[in-house]
Amino acid sequence: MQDILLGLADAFTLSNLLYIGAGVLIGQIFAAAPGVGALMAITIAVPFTFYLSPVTAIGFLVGINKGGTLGGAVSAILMNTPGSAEATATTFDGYPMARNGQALKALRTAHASSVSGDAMSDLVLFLVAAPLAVLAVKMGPLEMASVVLVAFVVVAGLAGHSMLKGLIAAALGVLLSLVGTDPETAGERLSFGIPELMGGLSISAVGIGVLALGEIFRQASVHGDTGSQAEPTELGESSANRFRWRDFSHILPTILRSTGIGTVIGAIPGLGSTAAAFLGYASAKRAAGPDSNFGKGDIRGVAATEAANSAVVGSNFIPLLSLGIPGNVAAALILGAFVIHGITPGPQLFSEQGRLVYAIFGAMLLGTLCNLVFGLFTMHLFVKVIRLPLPIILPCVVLLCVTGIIVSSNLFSAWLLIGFAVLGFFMRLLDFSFVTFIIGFVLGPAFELNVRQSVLLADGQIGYLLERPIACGFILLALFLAWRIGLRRRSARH
Amino acid sequence: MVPARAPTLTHRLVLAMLLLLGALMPAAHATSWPAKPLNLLVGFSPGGGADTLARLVARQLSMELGQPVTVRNVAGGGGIVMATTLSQAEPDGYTIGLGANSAFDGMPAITPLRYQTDDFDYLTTVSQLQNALIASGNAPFGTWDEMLAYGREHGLSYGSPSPITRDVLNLIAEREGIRIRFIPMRGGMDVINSLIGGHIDIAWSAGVHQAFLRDGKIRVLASLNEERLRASPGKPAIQELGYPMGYSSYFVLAAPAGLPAEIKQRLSAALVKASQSPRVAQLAEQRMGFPNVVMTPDEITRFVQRTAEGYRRQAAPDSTAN
Repeated sequence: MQDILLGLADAFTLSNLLYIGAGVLIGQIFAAAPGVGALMAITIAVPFTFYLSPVTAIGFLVGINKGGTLGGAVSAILMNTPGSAEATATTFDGYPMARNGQALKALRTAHASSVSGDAMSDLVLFLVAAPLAVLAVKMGPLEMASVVLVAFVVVAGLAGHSMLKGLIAAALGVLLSLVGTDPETAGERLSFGIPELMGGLSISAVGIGVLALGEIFRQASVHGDTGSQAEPTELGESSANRFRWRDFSHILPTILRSTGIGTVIGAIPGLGSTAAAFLGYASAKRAAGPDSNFGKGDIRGVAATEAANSAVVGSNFIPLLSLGIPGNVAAALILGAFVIHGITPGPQLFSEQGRLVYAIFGAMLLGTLCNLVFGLFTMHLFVKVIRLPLPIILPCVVLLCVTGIIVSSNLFSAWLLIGFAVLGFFMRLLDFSFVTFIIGFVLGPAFELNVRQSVLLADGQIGYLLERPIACGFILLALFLAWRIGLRRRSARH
Repeated sequence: MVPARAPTLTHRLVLAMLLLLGALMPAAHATSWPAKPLNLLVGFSPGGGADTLARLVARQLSMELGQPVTVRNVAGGGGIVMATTLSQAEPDGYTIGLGANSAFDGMPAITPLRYQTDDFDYLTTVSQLQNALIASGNAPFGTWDEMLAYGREHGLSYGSPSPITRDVLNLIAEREGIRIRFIPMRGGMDVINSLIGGHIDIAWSAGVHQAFLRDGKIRVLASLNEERLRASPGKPAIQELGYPMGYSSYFVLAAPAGLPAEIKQRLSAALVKASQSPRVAQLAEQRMGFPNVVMTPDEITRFVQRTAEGYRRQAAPDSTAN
């Protein structure tokens, strides 16, 4: 108890508040610019944190991370170009809302959902991090593989009109995720002798190319053809563009469901916020039933995605603090900051450095608070972007994406980016699902490694599977969901 | 200074200096190094101890040389992606790489790669790894001998963080008549958690295990370095157990082969200084538990050549047997 109070006292200082606030603001702005992303901000910021106290340093980085999950929604809603893969599903309903003149309402929905998802997931972290960590250790290769299987099936529900095309796109995503080196033998795979490909295709090149630039190419070609474009109707502060308490209570069940999904996915290392976001969206869409307005501007679509991907930020700290395993790249960078400050995350951290752990929790709370307060102003500011005509916005976005990727990786990635933009363009043109594609790409490596580990461990014995009730449960769930999706599609056709 | 009779002397001096400068100009190419930012290729993904260490070295190096040092993570394949990229860079002193020595000596000896051990100039080391064969604190065996007994009866599943670690385990399997299943793992913490969760029996750790010794979650069975480990002095080293070679390893800094001698000398001197700086030493020693062993270029070159030779010798009988 004393640890908790001392820790919180360590966290709630003016200098911490300033740094965390600055971090949140930096995260929001970096993430709002498509192609730049909060990840780049964290990468740049890590060396600066060498000279801060541990709590301030980690608070600052977590602040960027939290601000980033909200900022990512901005470009998704206003420009239909997700700043990172995790905000892709925000475009499905956010962008139609913006085009209907409800840009501010969409942004406020994203703000409210993101902050609530984040705050609740933080709370889960504070209360049950230690017991959840015990559970996470029990997740062996087979359990992980079966969880990924469930994720694959759930996202297949978003495949679009043709399940076959959706599966082809997913297979292509998995295939591209194999580029690089074999995890077992370190042999080269599909690298065609190009050293830059030995490390695999970077998620930013593939994600930004297919999701953001591909969409811009499509918009440019569509508008070029017709010569005119649908200007957004400007509703300003009118009632349809306002986000009220009524709206909040309308989306609250969605937020709760997505927060649950995001928290669980975040607590399992290796899945990450992109999978959480799509799962959140898919479940909300399924819950809303076939007559809903999903995909045409339903605020629950925005809420489902944003609550889910923000909830990952808090619960990602569960494996990070208790196991020392980062759930995604942002968490990996923050782990680096821990090491610099002499903190070894792991099972012994809570017992040995309780005060520090609670100080970090306090800093996270401050970050969520800053995100809430700043968002009220920044969302208002960002919405002005939509007043600019698309012929001005789109070239700026392309420039940001290309320069962003050159700065964060290298020139080769910029060529990859353009290649994947062309792929994304044709996928849209031919109605191949880029959602299943990107999920295949993101979850492919985790699925591959865990399946291979399981097969090696099972050693040809079926008993290995039957002795693991958690894995069996997930596999049965996947089969059940696949059956339900099939049923639903059949009834939709008749 | 002495204005009364010095004008001519001053003029001559200035002239002489200008001439000297002019004469030096062609050579300025070498002396002006570094004229632009350096690139440090790091064979580990961002975050984690090794990457952090590399970033600290980069900072110190940039202070030594007065030029920025950009860190680029080129992770994958136990360092071979970094080494491949590095081997294709220009040997101009502007691109250096950091990885475990196994990427430079062991990997090219056991698997066909696009580079060889001789394709690099070795500059220095930052720290020594603490390689150990480890098991969970809950494992049904606590010592090397108990592990062998258990393994002969049940077989063993082994968590392998890098293909290079298969070598010694193959040897153990062959000598002791144990069936060992190799399970590829994503990294040090993945290995630790898989052990604690009871998913695998034994594993190779390069040092992360040290934080888990105190509360008994992890046990060391044997040191895989050439000597016993600092944190586990009671556990035998692999050579004491009758095996032909130890697997001591270091974080090595290297450049593409063929650096101009003067640049190589200045670069390695700056790197040695950076690696010995208090910040780097403190991070390695106190926070990661890695001895801050900093070698001269000659020492590390000899070490890498000797290790490559050891791997080659061990690989040879295998290939004749098959």
